[in-house]
Formats: sequence, structure tokens, C-alpha cells
Amino acid sequence: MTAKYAIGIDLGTTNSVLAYVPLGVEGGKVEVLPLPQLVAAATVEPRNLLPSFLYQGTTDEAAAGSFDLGGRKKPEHAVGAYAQRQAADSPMRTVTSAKSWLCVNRVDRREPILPWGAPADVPKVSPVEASKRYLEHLIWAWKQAFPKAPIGDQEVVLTVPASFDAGARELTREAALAAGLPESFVLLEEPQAALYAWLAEVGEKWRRRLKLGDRLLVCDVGGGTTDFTLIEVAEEGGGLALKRVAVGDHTLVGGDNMDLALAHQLRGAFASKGTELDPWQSVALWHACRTAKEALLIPDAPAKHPVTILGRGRKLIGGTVSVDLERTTAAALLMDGFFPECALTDAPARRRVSGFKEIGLPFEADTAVTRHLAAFLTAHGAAEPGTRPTHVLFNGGVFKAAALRDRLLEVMAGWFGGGESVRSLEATPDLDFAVAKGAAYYATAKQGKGVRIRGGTARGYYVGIESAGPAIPGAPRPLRALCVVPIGMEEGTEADVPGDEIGLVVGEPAQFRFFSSTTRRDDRPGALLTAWSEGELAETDSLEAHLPASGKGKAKEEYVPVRFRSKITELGMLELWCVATNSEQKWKLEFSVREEAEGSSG
Amino acid sequence: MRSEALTLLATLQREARFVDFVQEPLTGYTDAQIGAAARDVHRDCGKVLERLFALHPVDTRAEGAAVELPAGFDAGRFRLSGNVAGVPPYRGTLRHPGWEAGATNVPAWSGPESAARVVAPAEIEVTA
Repeated sequence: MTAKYAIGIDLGTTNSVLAYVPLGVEGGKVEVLPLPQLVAAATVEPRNLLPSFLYQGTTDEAAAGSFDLGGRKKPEHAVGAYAQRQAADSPMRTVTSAKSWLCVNRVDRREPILPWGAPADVPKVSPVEASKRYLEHLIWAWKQAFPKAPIGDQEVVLTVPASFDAGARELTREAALAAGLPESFVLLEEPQAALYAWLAEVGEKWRRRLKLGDRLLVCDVGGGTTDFTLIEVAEEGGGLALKRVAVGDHTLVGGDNMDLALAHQLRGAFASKGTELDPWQSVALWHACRTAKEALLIPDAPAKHPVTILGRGRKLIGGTVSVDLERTTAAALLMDGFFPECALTDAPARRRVSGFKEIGLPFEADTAVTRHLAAFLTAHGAAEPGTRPTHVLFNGGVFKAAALRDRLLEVMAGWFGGGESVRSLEATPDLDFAVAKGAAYYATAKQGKGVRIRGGTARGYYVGIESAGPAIPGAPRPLRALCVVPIGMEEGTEADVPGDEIGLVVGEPAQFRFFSSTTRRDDRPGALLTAWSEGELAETDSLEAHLPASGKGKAKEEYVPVRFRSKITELGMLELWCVATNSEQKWKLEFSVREEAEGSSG
Repeated sequence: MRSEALTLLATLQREARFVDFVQEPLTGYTDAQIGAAARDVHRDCGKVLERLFALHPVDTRAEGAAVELPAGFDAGRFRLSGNVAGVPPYRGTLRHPGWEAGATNVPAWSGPESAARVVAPAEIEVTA
């Protein structure tokens, strides 16, 4: 079957979206698929966003058909709007932020650990399983709408944060295949998808809006994460082409932190009116603060916005409390806390602390988006005239607040001084759908229509090799890092990694520590690092190979001399192989996402 | 089965506390107290109506505009008042542009018979 549709899926931390466009239709428009979902018990309504929440109901609820979507089987869980609502009412039974868990390598992401900290009798799922269920729901919705065009036959593009490392991408792929996406589906980085959405909108005119040497900063601040990507306008075959030159590290700070900061501020105001908010009301306050933020940070905003918590019982009016949030207070809190003036040479505090105890996720000690941006630009040599960004594309719900877009531009103008300032590419009208729409557009671009962003892998990858030589008692053997994938390795290419042979023991698993870097762009495959500066290499999930014993010669340990071969598949997935140097055999290294030993540095 | 009207009422209650608001006696509350609650209920009711019915005016001309209704106009879409005599065309002033639903997205309900008349279930917060 040939594909009839290009489908873009944005599997978001807080909301998921599916967009599609018919293939081979002149002037085909990208549409967002309405997603029928539970909005209350046994109540199904189509919505454009599927909240990425999973509610593990009680057996009574399941038996009563509370989670029915019209199928024959009685489902035992709910995803979407109803589950999101349950996150407030019944947090112990609700999985949230599964996507952020995918890259927390101190836990086993294939083990049922969510809802984090839930009591023993609540059924739990792994972060991979939760992601799979959200995707299953999207696929189910697609099937309802297009029963004659199975998703397995379509061109599908699924987006991931640019900051996802190879391990997190592998887990995402695992969830997607298990959910039923076709083997041929492609992963695309979210900031690139946002830029594709912009390209789809302006069409060929982009060649007049941008010129050779321009550099676009895609600044994506979502609900839970901040993602930076730098894209250069290069020359290719006499015309303009786009090349992704750098991506930032995974930064767990986003709009949710901002709303929580406002809520924290207002909690005091409610207390001084004699109202102590219970957990249910606290969640209501959090949502009310998001509305207030969006209302107060637009041009010509009112001086204040009432934040109201309705009475919980039947006495709605009698139980209602309201406080005014002043625009100046909100602006000061968000600007100073998240977008402070800072120097280009400033760096955020690198230490991560376990602050969100109830969520269990590690989050940034430094919430200043501007400092994270300064560090990103500096680390990638993008702070000098000639290399610094000329344009910014804003993405993510946070930038619905115009004042925050302006603030970021102001801070950058301060860094770069006079002359040409950084300009904003006017944002796509609806920031909630840009990534999914851009992904659908990319799926058509893959078929040779439209412009593509090139750039290969955003990271270089390194296998940890323990030095030979005498062990010093009490001291670990020094570790060296062997470059196996350079930054910018193209899809569909492979590399034999030169260097000394490594002996692998047959019959037992061989485990390698694995590292990535977004900044060491001069390392070629085979480069052996003996020292690196802090922050240059980040440890990711380790790799494991299992070489089956040959069966003969059991007395001695049997070694096989191997070298590494790396490969980036056409679909953009990293594969690493051990290739025997004395035979035709080779073994694939698999990511081991089991719990890392305490004390391993990240 | 249950009536779609009840599902709509349940939606307005769930998302905008509409039933709580209308059922509560206003005696004893100041206008400011009522206003504080009304603001939220009003906003959330509006969101529900927009999503479920995508309302737009029947007549897109401005309120107060001089209009003419030709012979054979759709009496289901235009209601005449005032000095109605003779035959069309009628000349007059657009007093109210009307409302029309661009969609009807009332949720589908599939719950058990015992819950068919429930607008909002009773809530029990479980303690330890």
C-alpha cells in the first residue's frame, strides 16, 4: 500500500496532538485531527489536544464502564482530559509527565514506577508503557476517522525534544512501535518541527525572508522543558539550505514552573484573607494562574486580573474567594525568576535538586531561561558577531505571553549591543499545534517536496574504555572516552571506528559506559579522550552486548577481539555494533536502561 | 440511553459549575461576591458553548444596520417585529443578529442506567 497521508504526531509532556495532510493533493492543507476522548466518566467528546495523563481507575469504575470508548472490552484506565482532571482529584492514581521520565537515567524506564510514589495496590506502568498508551489512543482516534487508511501504511513522523539523547529516543521508538506505528516512522526534533511549521506557512517566500549566513535560534519553552536549537542558512547547489548546527541540553524548566511560582505568591494572599487552600484548591489555583499569566502579559493588559477559587461544595458563591493579581507583580516575578537580565558569560547553576517531591523528577536548580540560553550560545560559539543568532522563532505555550517574547529579545539585544538586533520570525498563530503541523509538513518534505533541514546527529557519542595498566588500590581505573559517532553524522551513513582492538569475554554480558556531547564538534571516530572539562560529556544510558559462548573450550575465558562500527539509520536511529576482527561475526549493542548505580554522575 | 440535554447540563456543571451557580440563592450575598463567582462561571460557560456549538451570528451585518428582506426569505432564520404589513421586500433595522450553531459536539454518554439522570455525581473525599 502506498501512503495516502502524511501524519505528524507531537507526543508532548502535557498535551499530545496529531496533524495530517493528504499526500499527492495539490494545495493540501495540514489539519489537526479531533481526538475523541473521555472528558468525564463514560462521557466522550472530541478535543484537539489529548492531555498526556493516564488515570489508573479503581476496579469499580472500570466495571461500571467509566472508561468505555465504545469498544466491546471494558478498559481499565483512561487517558486524556478525564485523566488530567483526575490528576487534581486523585493524584495517587494518575500518571503525569511520563515523557520527562524517559530521560531520567537513575530509574529503570521499562519498570512500572508510575504514578511515582503511589501506594502498592495502585496498578503501575513504566514511562515507556504510559507513552505507548497515549500513542495507542491517537492511533485509535485516527482509525475512527480514517478506517480505510490504516496508520501502518502512512508516512508518520513523531517528534522528540532536541535534547533527548540516543537512549531516550530509543525508548520513544520502542513505545511507538509497540503502540502500532509503522516500522518506517521517523523521529523529528521538536524545534525543527516548529521551524517546518513556519516554513509551511510562508512557503517559498522564506528564501526572501532569510539570507545566507543568517542564524535562527528556535527557543521552545513548553510546559515542563526548555529546548534550544540553532539553525544556519547555508548554501547548497547554488540555493539556500537550512542546517541545524547545535542543540541544547535537556532543561527541566517550563511554563508549569512559572504558574507554580505565581500560585505560590498568591497562596499567601489567600491565607491573609483567612483561606487556607486544600490540595484540590491548590491545583485550581495553579490553573487559574496560567490564565492570569496569559491575560496579564499581553500588550495593553489590564493593571490587574482577579484570580478566583470557587467554593468546592454546593455553596459556590458563598465559598468563593478572590484576590487580584497585579500586572506589575506578575511581570516582576516572572521576569526576575525566569527571564532575568544576565551577562552572556553567565552560567546557570548546574546542580539538579530533587525539588518536586510529589513528582519525583529532577528539576533545574536555576530557573532562569536567559542564563540557560547564555550558556547554550557560549558553549556553541554562537555569541560572537558573525556567529550569533540573527532571528528567533518562539515556540511553546509560554510564549503566548507577548511580554515574555519581548523580554527575551531585549535581553539578547543587551548581549549583542548595537547594530542589527535579533529579530523575531513572526510565530505561527497557534503555538499548541505548530509542532504536530510542522511534523506533518516534514513528512511531505521527505517525499521530495519542500525544503528540509539538514545537520545529522546533534550529539557526538563516546564509549567509555577503562585504561589498561596496574590498578591502584582504592582508586578506580582512569576512564577514557572513545568517539564512535561524531557530531553531524548524517542519516544513512556508517563509520568503522579505528583504534585498538577490544577484547570481549564470550558468554557474559559486556557493558560499556556511554557518553554524549553537544559541543565537541572536532572529534572524529576513533578519537580517544583522556580528559575533558566538566559539562562537555554527559553520561547517558550504558550499552550492553551479549556474546553467546561457542560451546567449545570452556576451561579458559574466551575473548573475541572486536572494533566498533557505528551507524545512523535512514530513520535517524543510532546503532552501535561490535565487529569481530578475526571472523565475520558482529553483535549489536543495546541500551541498558536499568537503574544506574548510586553515585554515577550525570 | 439518556437525553443529550442532560449530558449538556452535566458538561456545563462539570466545566463551569453552572448548576451550582443557578441553584444557589443570592439572598445575603453582595454584588461583589456574586460578581467574583460569576466572572469564572461566565467565562467557563462561554468556553463550553464555543467548543460544543461554535456559535456565530445568523446575520453578519452590524446590529442597528438598515436591512432589506427579499421575497421568499427564510422565516426560520429571520423573525419580524414591529410594523409588519403588506408583502416583501421588508425594510427595517437589524435589532439582533441572532445566533447559529456551527457545530453540535455534545459529548456521547455511555454510562449505566442507574447514572442516566445524574448531572453531577456526589463527591466523597476518601480519608486515610
